[in-house]
Amino acid sequence: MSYVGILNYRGYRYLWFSLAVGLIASLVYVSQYAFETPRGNTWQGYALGAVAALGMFWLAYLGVRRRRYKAGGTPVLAWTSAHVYIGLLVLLIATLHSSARITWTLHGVTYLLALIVTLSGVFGMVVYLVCPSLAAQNRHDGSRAQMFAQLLDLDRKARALARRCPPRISSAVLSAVEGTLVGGGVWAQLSGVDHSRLLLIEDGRGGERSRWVRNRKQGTITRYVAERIPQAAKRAEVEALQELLPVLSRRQAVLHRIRVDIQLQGLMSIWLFVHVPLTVALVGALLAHLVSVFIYW
Amino acid sequence: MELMLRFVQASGGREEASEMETSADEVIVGSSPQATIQLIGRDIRPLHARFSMRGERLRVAGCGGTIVVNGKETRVSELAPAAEIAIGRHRLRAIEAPQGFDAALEIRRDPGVEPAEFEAAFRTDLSQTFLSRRRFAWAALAGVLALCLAIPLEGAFLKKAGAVLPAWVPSDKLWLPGPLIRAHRIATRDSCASCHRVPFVRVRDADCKSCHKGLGDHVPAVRLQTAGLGPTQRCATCHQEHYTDPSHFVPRSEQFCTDCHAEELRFKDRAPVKAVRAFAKDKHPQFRVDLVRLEPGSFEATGSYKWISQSIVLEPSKAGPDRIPEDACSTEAQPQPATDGPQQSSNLTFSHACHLDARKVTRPGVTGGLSCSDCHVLSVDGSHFVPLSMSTRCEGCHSLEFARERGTGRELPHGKPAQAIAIIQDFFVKKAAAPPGTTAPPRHLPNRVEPPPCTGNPYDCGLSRARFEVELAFVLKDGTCRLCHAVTDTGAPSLIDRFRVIPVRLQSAFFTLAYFPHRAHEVLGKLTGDKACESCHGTRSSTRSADLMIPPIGKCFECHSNQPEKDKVALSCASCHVYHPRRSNASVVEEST
Repeated sequence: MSYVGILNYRGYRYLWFSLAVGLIASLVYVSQYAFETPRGNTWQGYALGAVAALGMFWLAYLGVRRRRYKAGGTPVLAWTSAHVYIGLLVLLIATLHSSARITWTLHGVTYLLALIVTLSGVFGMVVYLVCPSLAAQNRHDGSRAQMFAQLLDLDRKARALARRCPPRISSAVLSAVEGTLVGGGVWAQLSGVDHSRLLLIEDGRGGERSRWVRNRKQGTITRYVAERIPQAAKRAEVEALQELLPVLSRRQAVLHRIRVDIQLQGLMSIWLFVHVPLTVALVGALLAHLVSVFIYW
Repeated sequence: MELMLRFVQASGGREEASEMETSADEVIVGSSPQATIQLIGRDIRPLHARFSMRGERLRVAGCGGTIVVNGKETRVSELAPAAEIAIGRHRLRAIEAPQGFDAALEIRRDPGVEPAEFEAAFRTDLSQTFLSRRRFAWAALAGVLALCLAIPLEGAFLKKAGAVLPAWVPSDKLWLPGPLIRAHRIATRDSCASCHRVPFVRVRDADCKSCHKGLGDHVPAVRLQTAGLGPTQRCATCHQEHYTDPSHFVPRSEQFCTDCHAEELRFKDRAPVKAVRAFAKDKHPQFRVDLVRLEPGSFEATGSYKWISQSIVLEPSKAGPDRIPEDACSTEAQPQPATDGPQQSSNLTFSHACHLDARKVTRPGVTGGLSCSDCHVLSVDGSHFVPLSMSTRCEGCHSLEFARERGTGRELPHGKPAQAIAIIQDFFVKKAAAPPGTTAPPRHLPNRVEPPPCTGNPYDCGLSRARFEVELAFVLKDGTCRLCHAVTDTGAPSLIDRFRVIPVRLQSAFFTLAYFPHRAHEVLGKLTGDKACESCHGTRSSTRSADLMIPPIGKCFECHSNQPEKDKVALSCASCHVYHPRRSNASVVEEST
């Protein structure tokens, strides 16, 4: 699916539709000034509210239906294009219905939910426009599975080479491989911050002392190994370290690409965790709003 | 614990080992990268098992994953030396701890880990975190419906049943679309059901009128029908509550009135209501005033005075400019009214021009004569004035003293003619019967009509003198009573029946459905005080209390219009008019004594 195609589907068909309906709704809203200040319970207010409510129910239903690709013969691109523009249109109509008043009442909360749902949708649209090309660029036309296969291979190589190194370097490299963190919690996935660690054995006052240190972006271990090359005493050790260094560097690069991939993928789905649950909450709030308005008519 | 980890790997037919040490209370084994020892495989959980020290021995406990110790599946096991542990396809063995370590583990990783298994060991998708669209959606839906609908609804029923709920419980206040006006908030004590009595039924007029009892309809429902003006509107059609700005509660737009009043309204049973389109020249009819007067002959017919009200249009004066009379206080000949406009019938003889003439009327110790506010005090509504009365406004200067004896004045009671006559008679009979030399000789005042000399018996002389004095008071234009009052001389032989003072009524309001905010007009541009009053009311040329002195509408247009204009104050209908007549308000009339 072309994400740009969502916006310009059939010559911006739904944009023009939404602009036209939005203009009519605005005129209806302004017509209230002829007699009184705009509010929700004039005939204009009721009309705008009814259209906004129907629009919200329809958009929520569309969200369910959109999952079934090509449901009812209509291409998913059409559904999505309509969802985007009519979503913005419905927010405009809801704003006119409520005169953009946000209060800590059910009515204000309903409008606030509509606002958050729409803004999260806009965020989703923007990331869908921006992220896929960035992700493709980052993957170098590969897939995430391929990147993980590379990482697994590099881990094996690093472990094997580590065994040929002196114990302290071996332990550091092994712990760096063991202590590599990819993905994880919500923040770790979205921020892409590397919390990897490695265990360093050093000479202390009372003999050997080991401590965990941060291995951010795998820089610590790469620098550690690079610094050990000039200090190596044996030829075999130098060779092993010289072989190890490019492996660690490649591993560093692959890990970075994986993290960026997870981050972009995360951005493309995080908004849905706001958009979908709050849409359901909005439908509930809308029903409560309808009941409360007419129970105390 | 200090744990030595020994990783063993087959390499080219021989085994290679590398060692790593770790210091922690427990060591986690699992597929997660957070685990101390990452073992990857389809059947391995992210946090599969944990190792810890139990006395001298190493103890392994499953965190939900399967562990096989020495070929036997177990959940918890204390490891004997050389115990074999299988986790998935990986093998671990408890080996003898080297010097300085509490325990040691030998780990033989299965080399055949698939890339897919490797990838699955990491959480790389947000759906693998605590985030769940479905769970969040259900929680949000349940939260919204419970907090915003179910609990307030239940609370509303409980409150109706008399329960008192704590303030923190979500109540139907959450449904408030906007604030109530202050008066309604106090009156309803924030209870929605005070007005919204029946669910799903709009607020009924009866519920409004249960408090607002004195308000009349602008047009009675029957007349609305006969005039074809449509059905009676609900109270809430015009008075819309829950606006953010409470000033909207009373509609003030011109259109609200001109919807009906732009054209002349004709009725079968009453005079038409003239068309009004705005408060502007040629768009608003001339003012009408309600004037009260005595019905002629009513006393003679019924024995009591009957007042009638008449609505009169205030036409602009056709007479020349007002002229200030030379002697406004003269009682010799009542000057003609300065205006030819409508006349009041208060039955009071009063000259504004005289009272404002500083040469004639002064206040003790104050130069410059009287000012308007010496008599006219604005009432609390800012529109009308405190009713005038003899005792509060006139007595200060106009004493009813009819005689003075040895420094003691004799005053007549105001408003009680029979009593006054009796007091005069008492006084003069007593005076006639007094032994010679006990009363002071009468003072001879200039212009005073002297009584004829009496030589009869003292009682008759006293009564005769009293009759003479009473006649002076009632008949002379500057007599004590006649100076201010209209008096009917019936010619009856009895002195008490002969003179009838015609009652005085001073109107304090002239408009039934409009009001004039005097308070807002106390300062008119650069004019203040009396000058502000006199700019509308021609008091200095008015010598009769009958002069109405209410300026016609043209005067208002000098300062007002319906549109915002430079140097003009914009007025809408509601600036001067009231919509609902008070049921008791049939031309507010005050009686003055």
